[in-house]
Amino acid sequence: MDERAKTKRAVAESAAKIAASKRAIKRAVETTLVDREKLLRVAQARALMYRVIRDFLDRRGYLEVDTPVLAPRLIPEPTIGAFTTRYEDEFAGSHDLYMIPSPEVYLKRLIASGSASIYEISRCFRNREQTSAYHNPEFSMLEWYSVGADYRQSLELMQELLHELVARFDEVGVLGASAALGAQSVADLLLADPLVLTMREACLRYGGIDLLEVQDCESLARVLAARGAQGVRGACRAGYEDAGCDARAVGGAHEAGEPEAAWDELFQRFFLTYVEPELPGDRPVYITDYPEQIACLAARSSEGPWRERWELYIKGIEVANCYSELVGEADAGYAQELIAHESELVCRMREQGIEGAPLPYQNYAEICAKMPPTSGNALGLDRLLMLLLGESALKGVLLFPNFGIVEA
Amino acid sequence: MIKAGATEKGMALLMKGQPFIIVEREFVNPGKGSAFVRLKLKSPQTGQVLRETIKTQENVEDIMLEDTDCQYLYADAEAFHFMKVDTYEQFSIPLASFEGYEFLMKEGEAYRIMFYGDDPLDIKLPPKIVFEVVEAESVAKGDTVNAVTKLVKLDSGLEIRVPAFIKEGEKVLVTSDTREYVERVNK
Repeated sequence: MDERAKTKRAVAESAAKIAASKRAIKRAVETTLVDREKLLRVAQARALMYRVIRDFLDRRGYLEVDTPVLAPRLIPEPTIGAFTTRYEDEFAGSHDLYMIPSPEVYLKRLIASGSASIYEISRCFRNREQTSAYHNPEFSMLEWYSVGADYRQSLELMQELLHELVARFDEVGVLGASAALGAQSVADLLLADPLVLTMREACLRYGGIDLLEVQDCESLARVLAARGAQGVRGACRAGYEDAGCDARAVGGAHEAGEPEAAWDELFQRFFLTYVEPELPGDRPVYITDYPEQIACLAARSSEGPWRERWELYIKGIEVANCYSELVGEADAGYAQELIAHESELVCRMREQGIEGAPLPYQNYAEICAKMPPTSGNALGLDRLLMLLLGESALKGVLLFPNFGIVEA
Repeated sequence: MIKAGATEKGMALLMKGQPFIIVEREFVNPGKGSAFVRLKLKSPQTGQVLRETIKTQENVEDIMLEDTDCQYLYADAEAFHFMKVDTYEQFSIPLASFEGYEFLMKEGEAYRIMFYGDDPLDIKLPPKIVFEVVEAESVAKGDTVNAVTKLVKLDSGLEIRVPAFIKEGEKVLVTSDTREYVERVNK
């Protein structure tokens, strides 16, 4: 067969395959039933997880609240894509609404209003996320806010909650067996003494670099290039090298075709390639004190260029993200600068017509300023349930993964 | 050129002028950061492994491969040996490039091999393969908590976990990708 005929055959084959798969998807969406055994097992386990969480937090005096999943504005985060919908009122006027990526936008307003410690089990939505073993664009999250606490106290609370979940799941015999997790049992994994280390320690131990020595783009890019990373552009935008607020805010930029790398992106590449895959998978791992350059509403550390923040990794999977929140009048100016810069980036994305760039809450810093010292934690419940049941992918704990689209 | 976000496992990319196959691909999106794909790439010729984390919006160079049907002859200590069905030309691929494939391929059967020029880059396996169970421990009655699954040995030498009801001599369908049990085959 000559080249042209071969190509022609390949094109025809793939076109037929695409058409067939589209037909199959359509048919599957309409008719596929959920396996009854899975349905009961998964639904009951989730109900139990919610009962345990409520019980656990209620006992400690947290108030469960219920806030909307639609919002007219979102806290600006250029790296999170929003699902947009529209409220129609033909007489009073119509406007866009956004599905929340996290209940934070409302919960912090409650904290600022004097609610004291609260929590919510909420449905969250993130656009542009590829559906995968650990991602689903729609997911369930627990957010708690502990008034008067910092990120270290939240870490202790997180550990207590993990232990209580394991105990209660074990009690009724629904704790996962070991199959999906290898030789170790789910209980051994989740109850093991956690490894708590700062991001600086993690990068030193697993990545072999001291973050304090690569605080500018040039040197971090050199580290990446030396390890053979492709396409690292050494040059940074002017003014980035200093550790001022300008630099931090620029860190959120991620426009397509951006010619130069920002520090936080170089850092993410380094962390995701050389550190995260090396984290031990046999116990909970807490990475604390993230680089200050990663723009977010976490308080700055007094011990270096870090933020008071931790992430919980279990089997290399990000399960929770916690801050000492950026609060109070003293930091109001700083918070305002941060939000203004992030807003500007989101607004620029809107001008470029980038899908999923929401109207930013440009004055959200006013809410932060009115908050008492608080630590907030966001916990991915679908991932947590997956780990509790010993499943290896989210589809094992979701009744309708990928919105019920079953690819035949 | 394609966006890194559009890459898939099994795709071939040109990295530093050398062809690599994507052997692992994971979408990662740090809580506060851009979306990335984390790739593990392998060069079947040299066995070299690359780890790359690339923003989904960045471009990578994908390459076109040509497929040829090849008969799997045998594996020795170093390599898999194949013969092209149309030209009878024999060639080999290092064992290390396709770890565990000796447990998934059957001697004498034809497999589609992807070539970049003269270099064999990838062996395409059917997504699901039927094997016979040759060794299975029996499970004590009533032991329903621990006996949801058990370890069995298949005729290819592969060991996998299957539901406790599977018996020796039965045939099972296994995914070639994750080497996991799919279902019992009643034939």
